[in-house]
Amino acid sequence: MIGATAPAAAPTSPAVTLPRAVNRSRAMGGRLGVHVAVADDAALAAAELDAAHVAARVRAWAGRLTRHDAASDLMRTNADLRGAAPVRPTLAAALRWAAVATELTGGIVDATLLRERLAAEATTPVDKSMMPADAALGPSYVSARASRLASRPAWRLEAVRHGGALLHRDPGVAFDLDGVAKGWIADRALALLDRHPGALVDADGDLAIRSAEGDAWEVGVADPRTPGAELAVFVLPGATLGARYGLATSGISVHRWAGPDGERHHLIDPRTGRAAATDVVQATVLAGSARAAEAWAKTAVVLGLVAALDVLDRAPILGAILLAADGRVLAVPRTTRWLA
Amino acid sequence: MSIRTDPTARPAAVAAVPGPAASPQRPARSLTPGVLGAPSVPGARPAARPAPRRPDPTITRLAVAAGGIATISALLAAIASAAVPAATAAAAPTTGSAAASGPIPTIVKYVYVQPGQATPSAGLATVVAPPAPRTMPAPVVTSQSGAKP
Repeated sequence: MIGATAPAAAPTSPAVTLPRAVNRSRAMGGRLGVHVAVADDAALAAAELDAAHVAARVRAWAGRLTRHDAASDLMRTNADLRGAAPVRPTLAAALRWAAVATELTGGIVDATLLRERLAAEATTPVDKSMMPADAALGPSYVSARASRLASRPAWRLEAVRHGGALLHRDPGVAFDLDGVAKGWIADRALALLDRHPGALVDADGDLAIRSAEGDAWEVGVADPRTPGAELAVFVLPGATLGARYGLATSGISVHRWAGPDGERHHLIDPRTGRAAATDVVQATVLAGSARAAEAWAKTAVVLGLVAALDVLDRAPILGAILLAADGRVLAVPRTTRWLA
Repeated sequence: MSIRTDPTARPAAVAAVPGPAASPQRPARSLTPGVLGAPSVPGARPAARPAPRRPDPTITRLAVAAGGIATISALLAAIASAAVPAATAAAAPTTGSAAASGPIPTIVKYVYVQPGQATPSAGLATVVAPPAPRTMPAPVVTSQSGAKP
């Protein structure tokens, strides 16, 4: 679907001073918004073109990284059972970030949970076309996963020319990039808009943001209990040398399925291989990049409230807001600096 | 605490003490406390020069051991006393469930973002002033993926 580009609505706050152009479309199974802040109205036309161009690039990247298309780079790699599978540059770059995210979050962010994710979604028989060819690994795969959690990474990339890579992996490793890809795509798209004073890329709720000096972006945190309501509003100001932010939200209240053993959701705890048993309904993290924010938000949900607050308090983030299952809305203390 | 030694003389132990070894050219050390060699008699052939008086090594050993124990005890006490303030200083806001989960509670810090929320057990949470209600929603929203805008 081709997005529509138009100047944004009038500024909603004194903090927002620059005119905006916005391109809205759908991508990655959700919404895609490319917002550009310009110095004056004369620059709006160019900004609209750039926003449309970036939106097209985002859709192209998403098409390479999705698990919902057997022809995507991701799924073709999953299906390639060679000992050293060639990986194209976009997927290689996203996988490199996935490896960093795994290291950063102590293994909670794990891009190799495709089987577990498909099993969690299996209210009906699993779509075999989306399952890697060696799916019938059974207990040996479970055993291999357990040993990986305790010892070494199950896969690695060997760099080759032109940004590509060769993928070396244990038997049975299959990738599902999911939010890891969204955050990575948002950051990469934002970099394409560097010539404008400010920009914001909304990759279905994972946001990469650059604020211009004297300007700010205001971003609400959706309240999943009430459509249109907000738990809080972040105000993200610019700085002399530019200020970059990432905002991402993860949670268990949107993607839910009824399974034979009760309700399931899409956030898999790699320690159990099952949907995380958590008392965090939703976590929003403000960090220096969308990909980092997404990784920490997912980690917070998977860990549960007490462990999440403890981990987030020490994590390299700017703030975090958690919606607990009992309805409380909690934030790590440093968050308040950024709230409207 | 009293420290007892074995009152039984043990030649093997004496021989093991560093110092002059017993030999035919030198008088054997008496095992009687306070007496070193034979008494001197005027006009008699000068007796062999008695070995210099050495303090009982057992006492020195005991003193060194006691000092070591005292040093280790002092170090352990210092470590323990340094750890306690660090834990209590960070104990400001915490959750009741954390405090109840084990002997060493997980320390978490948080603030409430919205008004009217009950403080968990012991009133340990810090409540900050929530943001003022807004008259219009923010133009951009972060949400869970797939959420309806």
